[in-house]
Amino acid sequence: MPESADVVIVGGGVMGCAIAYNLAKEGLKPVVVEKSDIGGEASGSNGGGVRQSARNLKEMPLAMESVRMYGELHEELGMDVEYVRKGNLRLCTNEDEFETLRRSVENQKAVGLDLEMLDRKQVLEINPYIGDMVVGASYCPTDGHVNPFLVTYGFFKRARERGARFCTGEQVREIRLQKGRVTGVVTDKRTLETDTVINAAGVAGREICNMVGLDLPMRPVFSEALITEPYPPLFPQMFGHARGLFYGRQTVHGPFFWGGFVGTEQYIHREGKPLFHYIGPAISKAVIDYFPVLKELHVIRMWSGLIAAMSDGLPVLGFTEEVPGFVLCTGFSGHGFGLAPLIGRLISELVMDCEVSMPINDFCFSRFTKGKEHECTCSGNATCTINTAVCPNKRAFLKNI
Amino acid sequence: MPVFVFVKDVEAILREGKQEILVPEGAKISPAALDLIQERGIRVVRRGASEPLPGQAASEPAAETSDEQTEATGRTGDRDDAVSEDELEAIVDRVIKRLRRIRGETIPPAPEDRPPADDDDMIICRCEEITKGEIKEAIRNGMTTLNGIKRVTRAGMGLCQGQTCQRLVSRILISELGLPPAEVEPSTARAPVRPVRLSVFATG
Ligand code: FES
Repeated sequence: MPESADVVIVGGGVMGCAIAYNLAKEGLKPVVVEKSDIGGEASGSNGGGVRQSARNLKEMPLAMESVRMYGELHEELGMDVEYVRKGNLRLCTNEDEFETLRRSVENQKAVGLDLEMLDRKQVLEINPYIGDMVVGASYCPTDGHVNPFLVTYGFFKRARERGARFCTGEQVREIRLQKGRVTGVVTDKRTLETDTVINAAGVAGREICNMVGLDLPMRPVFSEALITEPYPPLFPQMFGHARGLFYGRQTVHGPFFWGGFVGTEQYIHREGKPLFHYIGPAISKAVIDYFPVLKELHVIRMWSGLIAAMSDGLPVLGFTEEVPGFVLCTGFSGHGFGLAPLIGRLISELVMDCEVSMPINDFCFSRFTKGKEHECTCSGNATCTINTAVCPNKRAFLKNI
Repeated sequence: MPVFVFVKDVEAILREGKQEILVPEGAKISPAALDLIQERGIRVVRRGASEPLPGQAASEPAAETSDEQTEATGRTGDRDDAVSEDELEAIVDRVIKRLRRIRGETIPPAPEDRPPADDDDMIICRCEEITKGEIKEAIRNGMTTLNGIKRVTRAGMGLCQGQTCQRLVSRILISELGLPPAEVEPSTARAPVRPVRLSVFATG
């Protein structure tokens, strides 16, 4: 006996949970299907950066609005998510990096972000612990970090309280279409009738797309991180590297989180998440170079995760013209977490009203199929084919028959 | 590759008039051999897998290995320079004390093996100071796996990486959800098995 759902969300990571929360707030009863655990993949294992600086300029308005929302998130979720807004330093180790970063900082300032370039002396004033190799950094005071799992859990908890249903340990096997429209989702445990499916499956987003005959230029990129033993508070900032090779912070509980890339991360086997034996030592070496004071700390845990990297490094959001009822929200390419509260709201607006309060046209699926100069319909109803179960056009349409 | 100790190996030991059998780390003892071992009151000494089976070595100077050495080879983590069990204990204590001092707290007693019912204040995870009540709340809020509980409450994320508390947490999970014990998946084990200094790790 098939069950029915207003909306089915594929993926119980931070995006899936945030969308479920926003839809449930509007009175819908979404069902989230998650193959492992809530926040069990990238949402539970990333660095928790909430960052605007060094983003693609197209993402900047979203990132700025999202940072504002993070400031109120603990109230909205009714719990502490360990959000710290104490700035982000992107470190340079030579003049070339400094020059490149300085130029990009100019562009970011031009779109309204408050950040500046600091020389070594100024960096030392903000953080006296950095190593000799650092020649300067960009500094964005409104950036910060958060406990990524608690954010995911907070959205999950709230969504559940408001009537969203979560099916964990359940894999989507098939998305049913009829005359090209979404009509249901088949998992390994049940069949759900629905006319709206949201693909928030992260690195599995490509597979989910394949189920409706679409494909995404996405590949999994491996990412490793380590955690040290706890230490009394040393510094509250988030750190990055000018070319993105190294990042991390001290968590509010005392342990330090450090992640890094050596350049071989995209050459992974599709299944499984091995640890490359040389990445841990490479990260450790970087930590000691950047923060010599930490060299006697013990590493207590390492893990890896997969990044859903898109060909252009930008997520894919919104409706697909090809398959009415199929909504995309994946491919965040390793910097989605900072956007999550806003994206949850926008995707919910899209499903409820066929309209979003901030443009997301730069992220539409058609950029791959039609090239950059196409007429975008991902975030509006210009050529509405009755995209979702609850959109106003559908309501009007149903009234007329 | 599992190595078995068979009856013939035990018999070889008996023929030599010994009261001790050396078994490679990770090797299994066949049920029949185990019966024989128990029946004759032979002592089983576990040791590094690289050593040959006692029955297979014609003459065995290796059999002179003392118990301390056996301990040492059996207990090191996944790397030679990782700290030992005792050192780990010491680090755990040091860090806990350090954190307590910062927070100005006194030191609560270590958890009992079998928690009394309804004792929600009891510390289950010593490293992170997580109580039974907090774990029960996470379960009520929809976390149904050890990994999920670990991420929400931090129980199991501490220095010992759950070696002390994971068994207790899974027991709570079993009793709260009424699961058959076999359905509780162990939480994901993370390398390194023993804490290792950044400066040591950095050298590969
Ligand atoms: S007791 Fe050490 S992690 Fe829980």
